[in-house]
Amino acid sequence: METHKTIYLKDLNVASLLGKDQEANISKDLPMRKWLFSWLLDPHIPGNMQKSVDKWLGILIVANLFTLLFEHVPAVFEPHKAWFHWFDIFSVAVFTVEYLMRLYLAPEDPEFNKKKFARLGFVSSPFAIIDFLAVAPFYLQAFLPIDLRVLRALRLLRILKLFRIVVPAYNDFQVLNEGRTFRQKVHALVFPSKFGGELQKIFDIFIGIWVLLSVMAVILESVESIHYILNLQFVILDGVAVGIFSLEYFLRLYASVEEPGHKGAFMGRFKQAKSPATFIDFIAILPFFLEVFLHHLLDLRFLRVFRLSRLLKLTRNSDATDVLFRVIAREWPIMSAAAFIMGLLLVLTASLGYLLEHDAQPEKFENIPQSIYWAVITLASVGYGDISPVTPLGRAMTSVLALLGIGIFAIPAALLASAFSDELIKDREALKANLFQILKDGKIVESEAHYIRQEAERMHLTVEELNALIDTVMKEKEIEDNLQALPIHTIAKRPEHAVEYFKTAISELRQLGMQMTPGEFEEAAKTADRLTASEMALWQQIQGKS
Amino acid sequence: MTPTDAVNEPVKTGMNGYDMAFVGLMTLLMVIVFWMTTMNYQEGMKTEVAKRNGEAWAQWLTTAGTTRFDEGFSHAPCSGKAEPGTWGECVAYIKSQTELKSLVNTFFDKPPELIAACNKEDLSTTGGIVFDNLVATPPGSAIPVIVKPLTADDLITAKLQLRITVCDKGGYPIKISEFEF
Repeated sequence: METHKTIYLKDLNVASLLGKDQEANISKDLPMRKWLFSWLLDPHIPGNMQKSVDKWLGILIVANLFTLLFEHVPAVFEPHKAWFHWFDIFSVAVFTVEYLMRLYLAPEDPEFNKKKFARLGFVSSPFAIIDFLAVAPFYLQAFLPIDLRVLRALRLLRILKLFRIVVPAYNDFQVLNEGRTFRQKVHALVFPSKFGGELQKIFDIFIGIWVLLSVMAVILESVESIHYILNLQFVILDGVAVGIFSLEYFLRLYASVEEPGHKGAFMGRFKQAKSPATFIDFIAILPFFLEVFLHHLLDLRFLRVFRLSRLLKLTRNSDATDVLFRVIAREWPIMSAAAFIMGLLLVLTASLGYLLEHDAQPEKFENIPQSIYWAVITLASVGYGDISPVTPLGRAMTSVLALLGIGIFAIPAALLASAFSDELIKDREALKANLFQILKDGKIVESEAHYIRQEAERMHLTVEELNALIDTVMKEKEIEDNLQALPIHTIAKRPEHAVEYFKTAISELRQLGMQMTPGEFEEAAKTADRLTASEMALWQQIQGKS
Repeated sequence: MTPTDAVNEPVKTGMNGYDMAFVGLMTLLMVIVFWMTTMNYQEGMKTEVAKRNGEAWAQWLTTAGTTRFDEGFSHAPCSGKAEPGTWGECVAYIKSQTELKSLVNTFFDKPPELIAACNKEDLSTTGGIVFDNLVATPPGSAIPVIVKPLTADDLITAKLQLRITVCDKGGYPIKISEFEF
């Protein structure tokens, strides 16, 4: 839940601001039981081990689900029976320790400590009953002959333990979305927003797990021996994955009208549908439906490989793909010029190769289209060697072209690398400019702290890097404050002050450009000839556009 | 209604008609996906039955292969000493006299055909069983074995190295096993 606290600059601790001050503030003088509860189970103490405990238990529960599934595959289960058995013992041991620990610590838990018999309250609570059911069948089978199938069915109850993680997240979600409509709630669940909370993160993790599972299944399906054994399991897994991804796809479409810039029941959703991320979602489910409906008309087995595109769904949670597209769009004119030269060189090389080598090797340089393969392999410096020139002229030309190829093919790579670096600098400059504004009043309110956290995470800034950035901004601000108090003629007396004043003025002009919509300034300047050509050139230069 | 009333009007947070229609559509979608998965599963089951058929043939022939050159081998047409001792006679005997006669190709609900090769252009081969004779080449050859379909006229009076394959629903081959007969 959002806390509305204000941080004053004199108390600013960047590690704490970023939530990376992991050391929990738990006194060693606490009684043993209280101390243990604070470290292991208290969800309200930042930096304790409660989240880690929940995470590892969650992983163990999911692993249990998978072992249960594979136990039904004799070809997998029979040769590894002992491993399955020991894993079950390990899981039961961990779950038993967890249950006993929660029972022991129940009197410290605010949920039970108000009851007369706190431990009895814990034992009769729904979560504790689920925890008990997760381990009880294992112990019962020692005393009672239980059918293996019943035992396995009871072990399936372990999955319910995940409720311990999901239910609190759901409750928080309900609180965050109080008074909001059904569609807004759906939006909060599937799109990142301040209303999503932990439940939105769990949803993303859930989708991510299914993406990885289904991609692994596609890869393993291509292994004949595995496909032979797990054919039906792959069918079920694909069906479940498509069910989940279809649901996600339509939930996103339905709730997309709540996204900024997606107004209109049809146009908003259409805009969402044609966005790259949603298109990927669509491609991820399409092969399943096409294959089921059209398999009797066409052999659509090749479509199965498109299921691998599900991996692209994971890029939704990463900013890197956006940056890549932005960089390509920005550098497109130069990249397209480089691509044009590459294409030209390719056709010329292939034509010359055909001209010089056709007579000597008619089977390898049969025509120009066939020679293009050789030209690409040569220009890209791959050089498989399956086709190579044999005539002296052909070899001489190849030597020159191979050298040219190194330069020409390196251009787009160098362009991209430099554009990436520029983009990073631009992002940091933008953050710096915003930090300047944020720190102006000497305090950081929660919404500003949220923005800093979000940007630091997006740009992968470490505590040290953000600290350095804030230090720079504060120093610049200090100088600016000092200089602004002085009249121009006083600043002019000290060259170093004049330089700082000039830097501040440029920085402010840059900020002005960043705050405006691209082209807006230029248009306003042009309409009434407000700026001279040299003034406009200077503006462009300051904005880094010339 | 005064502006104050409008502000104080409770926000409708329940599901409206559109929301219900959406939930209905989602439920329908899930039903369709479930139905399609069930269909795929049933088709997969048919492939599994075809694989079990192939395995049953492989099992029977492997077992027979260990004793068919012995005196008193009970399945005479498949004996190594049978006259004239052709694959066709052996197959006819197996299909009519042994437990393999009850096998069913569930794609067509009839006994599985023994065919020359799977063919994705000809879906009548679906669920069919293919026997290939693996003939070893002389030592030093580039290819260690030559694979040729076992025909009805091929003699079985010598030990044979066989490969059994079944055809899946798209007419693609699924290798079952290689064994000595």
